Amino acid sequence: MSLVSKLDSNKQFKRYVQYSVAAHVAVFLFFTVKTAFFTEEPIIFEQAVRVDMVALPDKVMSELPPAPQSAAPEKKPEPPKPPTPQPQQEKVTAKKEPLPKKTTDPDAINLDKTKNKQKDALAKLKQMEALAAIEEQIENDKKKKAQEAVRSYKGNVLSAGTALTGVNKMQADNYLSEVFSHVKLNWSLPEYLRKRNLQTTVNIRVDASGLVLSKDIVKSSGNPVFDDGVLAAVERSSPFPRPPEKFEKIFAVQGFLFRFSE
Amino acid sequence: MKSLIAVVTIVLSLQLSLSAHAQSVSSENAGTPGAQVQIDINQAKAKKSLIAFPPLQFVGVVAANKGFEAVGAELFRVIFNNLSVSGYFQFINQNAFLEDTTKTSLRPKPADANGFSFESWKQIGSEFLIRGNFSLSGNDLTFEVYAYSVSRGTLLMGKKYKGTKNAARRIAHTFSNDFLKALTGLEGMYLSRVVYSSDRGGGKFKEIYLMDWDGENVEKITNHKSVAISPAWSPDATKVAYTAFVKRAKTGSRNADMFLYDIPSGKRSLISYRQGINSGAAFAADGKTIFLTLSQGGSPDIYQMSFEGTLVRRITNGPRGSMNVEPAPSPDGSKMAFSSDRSGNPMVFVMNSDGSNVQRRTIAGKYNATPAWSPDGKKIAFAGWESDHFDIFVMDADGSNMVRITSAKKPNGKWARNEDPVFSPDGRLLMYTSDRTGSSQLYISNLDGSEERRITNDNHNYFKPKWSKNIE
Repeated sequence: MSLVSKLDSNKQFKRYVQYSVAAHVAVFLFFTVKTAFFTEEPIIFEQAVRVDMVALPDKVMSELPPAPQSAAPEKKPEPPKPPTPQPQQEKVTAKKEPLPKKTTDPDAINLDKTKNKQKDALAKLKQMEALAAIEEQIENDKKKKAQEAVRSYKGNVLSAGTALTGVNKMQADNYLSEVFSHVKLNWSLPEYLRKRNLQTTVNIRVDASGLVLSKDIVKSSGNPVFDDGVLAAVERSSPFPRPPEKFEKIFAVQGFLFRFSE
Repeated sequence: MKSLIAVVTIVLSLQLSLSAHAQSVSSENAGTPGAQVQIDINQAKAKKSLIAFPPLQFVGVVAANKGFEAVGAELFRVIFNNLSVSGYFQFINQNAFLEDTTKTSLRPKPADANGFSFESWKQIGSEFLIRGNFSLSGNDLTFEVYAYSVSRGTLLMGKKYKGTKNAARRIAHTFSNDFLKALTGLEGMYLSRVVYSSDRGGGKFKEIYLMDWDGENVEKITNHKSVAISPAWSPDATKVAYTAFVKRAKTGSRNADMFLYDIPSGKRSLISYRQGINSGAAFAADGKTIFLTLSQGGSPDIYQMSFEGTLVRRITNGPRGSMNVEPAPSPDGSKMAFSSDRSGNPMVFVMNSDGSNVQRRTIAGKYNATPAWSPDGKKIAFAGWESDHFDIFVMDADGSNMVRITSAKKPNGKWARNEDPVFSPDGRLLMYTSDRTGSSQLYISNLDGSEERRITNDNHNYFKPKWSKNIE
């Protein structure tokens, strides 16, 4: 008995092992097939787009009338809105009144009928006109709103901290970043002076064509080699990118400050 | 990181904006009058400085001093190598020189009628000029040398070094240190030495050796005919602590015991022979005690011990079963880096030197070990396991800004193992072992992994280098 049961249990055990192996193989196959043929689409991390809430709307602004003017007509189309629902109410009442007359006076004379018809027709015409007017107004409102949506931006306010806005700021930024990369290309430092926290500020005046008029060290780093390197970088950078016309005077008379730090 | 826009800060003047577009400026946002547009420029391109180093002139009677060429050549070679390793200079080929330096003196022209002219060096673009001569009298060597800034026409430093003929290397190293100090304010590391474990003696034995940082003057300091590992310098570079598997006289079994070797006297003492490992010696910053790892039959922990071998304090008492090894006290002695597997995989941790405030410093990787501090205490170098090999990394002491230093393949195309980083005493260089040639050799590189150079040049294996301070 015990032998038989042992044999049985052995057989059972073997069978279960087979089931188990089969199940494992199935799971394994499932996942290999899944990964081999049904791979998920890779997630693409696109580079984040920098959105400048202040600069972008200002660019649009420059081509359109200034903000205060566009703000005034903005409010005008709004008041006519409330009266527009009134004709709609009239239209409903007008329709309801004649209907009971028709039903209550079946034996009325043709004149009345024709008069009524005329009245109805007139009323309808009026209603049509009113409807058309409403539709027109609504469409006009929509157009105006759409235009306003383009025109008025929340960002169309001077940002705190900078006195320059709009085109000026953009032009200044553009020009200065041009100058930045231009000068940076020309600045090299001896290896032995690196990582020593040196800082030199130079005032540079540039004429309308970008030629350097003067370069004066406003604040020295204390290291003559570093200072010389800075001046050499400015010298090599001349001529600078042509300054925008409106900044010509400022850059030629007052100049701008360069702070070189390593 | 620093975007262009962030770097370009613009301070605007009221006049500027008013004159440009009056209607767009509201009166509330008046710029500060008189302020100017300012541009910040940082991160200059780094360039090597051109340097002219003409041959050193021998002054004296040639007939009376046979072999003077060898002395001059050694002086020249050592200085040339030192300044190359600094990464600061590019040497101008001597064929480009416009001046015959055998006919001009070491001094510039206006002051010295027979002097050299700065102009002839300026013309070939040289920024620096080193002029030197040497003389021999008997066994005494005198080396007179001047370093000039050509572009400024000034003397950076000038010195006369005196010593024996055999001290030519030391004289050259001393000058290199002085020159870097004059140029940058920070002395070089050219008089430093390195201690390491190596099988260069042949056989399976590993013994402890000393050598100059550039691989010269190798000196064997142990003869256990066993495996000696993990040497460490005392801060004053007069003592070396190390661990050797030595046979116990009584039991005949081998144990990893710790020795202390005094270099000037050559005296050796057994300082820790507790059951289990006594290894990973690191001298405290004040040089009065030694940190080490003891297992004492259990899991290894870090202890502080006197030179006599008495335990001062137990530093780590890590989670049961976890190891805490490779103590590395910070240069100011306030903190200690170490390796521990308390978080699972071995990682680099930093704690106060009394064992409190343990903080994990490496997150990435499977196995980060052998931490080493930079001399200014701002950086930690370590070896990190990557897929199938170790590479050297440097991070800020707080664990940020990790930079890879090594990435080398063996001739068979497999990745080389790079291990056991250590900073040079001036903090400019790293030394580590790499088996890219097949055997574990010593290499140095800059802190960004550039300018990698091989220091040892044989088929033996070198392990666990430690870099001393300048030994005057």
